[in-house]
Amino acid sequence: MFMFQHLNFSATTFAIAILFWSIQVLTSLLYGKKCRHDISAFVFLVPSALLLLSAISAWLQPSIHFASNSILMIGTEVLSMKLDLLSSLFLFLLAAIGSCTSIFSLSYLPHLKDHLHPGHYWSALSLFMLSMSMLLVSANALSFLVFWELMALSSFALIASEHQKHKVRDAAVVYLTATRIATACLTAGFVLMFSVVHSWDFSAWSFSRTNLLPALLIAVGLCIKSGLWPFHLWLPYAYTAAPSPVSAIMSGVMTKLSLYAAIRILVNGGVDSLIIIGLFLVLGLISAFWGLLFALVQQDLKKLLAYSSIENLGIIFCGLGLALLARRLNIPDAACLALTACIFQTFNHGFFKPLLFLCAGTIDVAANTRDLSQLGGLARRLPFTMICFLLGSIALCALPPLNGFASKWLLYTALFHQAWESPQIFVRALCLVWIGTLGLVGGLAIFCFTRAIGITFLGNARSSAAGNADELGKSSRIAQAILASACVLIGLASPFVAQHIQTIACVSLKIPVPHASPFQLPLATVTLFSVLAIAFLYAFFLNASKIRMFNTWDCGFGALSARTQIGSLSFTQPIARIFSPILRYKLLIEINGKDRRHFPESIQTEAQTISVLETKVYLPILAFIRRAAGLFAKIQAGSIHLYLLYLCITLALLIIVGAYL
Amino acid sequence: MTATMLDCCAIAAALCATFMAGSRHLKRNILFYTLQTILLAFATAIRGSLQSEEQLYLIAIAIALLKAISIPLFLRWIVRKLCIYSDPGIMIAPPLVMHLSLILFACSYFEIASIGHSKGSSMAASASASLLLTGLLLMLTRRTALSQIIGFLVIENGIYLFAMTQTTGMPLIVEMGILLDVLAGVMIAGLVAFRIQKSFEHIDVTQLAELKDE
Repeated sequence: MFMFQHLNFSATTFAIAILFWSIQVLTSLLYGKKCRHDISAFVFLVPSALLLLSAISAWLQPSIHFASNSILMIGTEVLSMKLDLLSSLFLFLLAAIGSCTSIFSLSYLPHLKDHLHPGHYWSALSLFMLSMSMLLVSANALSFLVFWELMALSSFALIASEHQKHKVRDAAVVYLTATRIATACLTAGFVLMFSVVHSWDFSAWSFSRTNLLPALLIAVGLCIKSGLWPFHLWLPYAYTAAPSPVSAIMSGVMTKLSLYAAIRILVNGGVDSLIIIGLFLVLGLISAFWGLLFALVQQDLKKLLAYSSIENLGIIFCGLGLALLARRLNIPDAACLALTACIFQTFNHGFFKPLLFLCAGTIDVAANTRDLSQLGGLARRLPFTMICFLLGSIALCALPPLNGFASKWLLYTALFHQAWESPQIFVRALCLVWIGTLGLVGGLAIFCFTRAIGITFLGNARSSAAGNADELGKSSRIAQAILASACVLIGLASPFVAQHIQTIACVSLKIPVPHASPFQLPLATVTLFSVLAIAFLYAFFLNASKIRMFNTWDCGFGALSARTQIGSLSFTQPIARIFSPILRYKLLIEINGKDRRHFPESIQTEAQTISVLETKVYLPILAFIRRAAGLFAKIQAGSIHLYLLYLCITLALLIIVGAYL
Repeated sequence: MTATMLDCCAIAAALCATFMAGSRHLKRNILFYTLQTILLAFATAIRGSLQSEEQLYLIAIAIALLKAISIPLFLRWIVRKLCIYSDPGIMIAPPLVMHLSLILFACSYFEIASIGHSKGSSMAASASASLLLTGLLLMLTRRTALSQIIGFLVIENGIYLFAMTQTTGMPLIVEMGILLDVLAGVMIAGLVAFRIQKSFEHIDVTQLAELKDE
């Protein structure tokens, strides 16, 4: 398929993996409904494993360049590919998540058999993985755009895989619209850039002050695709509608690819315009805050995870903006730290968010609902999933010793560095504001996930389905275990990982690579000692024999039911009230009965949050477009002769315009 | 083999289209189309000898074989099968359409003169513009689906004539691709006309107005 300049191991394995996936795209389509999930998952695992090998072996050597064969050239340009450290890191993430989700699919997908067309699903999934891996090695704008489009379309097909449901169809359309706009922005930016530089190669692009518009277009396109505020609307819908393995890949890898593109195109291209830096910093901060705030009040577990994805992407883009700012202000060590933190956070989020999505998928199928007010008491039914979910949440909340901690730590370090070393007082103040807000977001994240875990796993079941839930199968547990242990391992090995990522960051920023690791805390040692200490304390002071069993006082009302537990609404109410101007949070309480004050007969409560952006901005725009389209529909009369007349008039007008203008 | 002969061929092709605009008879229209296409093939060959390019001879042969022989034969077969031999026309009566087409011919001559600065001859360019406009007129003023196909073919001829005379020449592969496209398009359109006749018992496009978004 490819012509290699030097035929080496990682390029060969990469090409074989791509070939495998392209074959699977076709065979799954051919088999159609007869396509079997178990065989497909195993076949899917092979290229994923090959890609993993390719990514790991690519770490050990300098970047590899290869070009497409002349037959495959679209037009006149040679489509060059490049596999360097940055792309190999993302390829590693892609391959790891791809293999885990395919293992998970083995026991998850058979539960969806009524809605899912297996042939379409596996073919779209293979195409999705293929396009993402090709995107990661594309070194020029043309092939980048082609695979970007393929990625968008195949993920659209995957989101729509349960298209019998009305909600899923709506979500897919919203997603498609968002990706269309993103691609339009990107294409416009690329074409403008080509008209200035006269090359499609990313390595030839440099964004000086005069190239602000293309850089801005590209940045906006990437922001839309990664779901930053205010373009985040598609994200909760899409993640909720897609099957869990798909939402895992989308949240873990696909949205990260826009960060990859930002580093590859904008950071490598030397963007230093304040507008773009400001765009990343401000949108990042708002998304982090906004996403988490909405995650706090969600009732749907997957929607909660989706909003928390928005928060994480916000933090990641904050790191990116910070790195660009530090480079502009000529503080290389802060820039290096910030970009390291940004890539590290991306990498970590790529592991713990898929883990959480897979756990949510297990819960969804096992308890037959994702509604938090229907769940509860799953700790006894799904103990394994609970441990995995807990580990994922700890990582997400950036608590040591898991992986999220190291990247957040690096981000804060970068912010403090910047605040300390920058000469302008304005930048210092700005950094302090960012530190404060990110701190608040981190605290709220802990609250949010305490709620998610507490309501889902603790207490008693709030519905009979949740009470009878069962673990799915061995393969789902294996997939969760791999991802959870990856979170722990990356956390314990964070000094090494951070150093590796620091190299990538410094190469991208074109500054010399420092020798020391940016993350110096002896996390593994501390963890070992604290685990030993806790075990010691537990064994000698808190031992289990001292637990007393007694009944909870029920105020004399009789037996306590599951409804007397703290609910998902009541848990968030205090915080939701504080932020009620933003959330438009309203608590509607209706008390009925003769003596309402002392002996109410029925009490109804309902919490309401309105997304202002959706109702006040997007829906009016949509309504306007609908009305305009309705006007246009009037000229569609159905008569062929009328259509021909339109053609005729257009032609005549064009000729007249061509002749006299 | 001079440039005037090329112009003559182009104008004769345009006049063929004008005759088609004036005729109700479908078989006669197909005959005129054949004549027109043969003239175009001649024009291509003349152009080939003027520029001494062997490629253009090949294209001329291909046009003669595909567009001047196979497509008319196919259309005649469809006409026989459908048993529809004439087209009553709609909006404007055919004799009037013929006059209109002559006026368009004159208009396109002046139009092309005002656009100017192209390398090829302006006579051939105006002939091709007139072909294009007459084709559109044919499609606009005819009732049966078969006439629409013939009108479309005339438009295609006009575009081809323009491309052939005004540019230094398209690559052979592009020409062949376009030829194949036209052939496939006509085949499909003919078969669809067949199906329409079968299901609605007519091929009157004015009655096919239901297919739209409400």
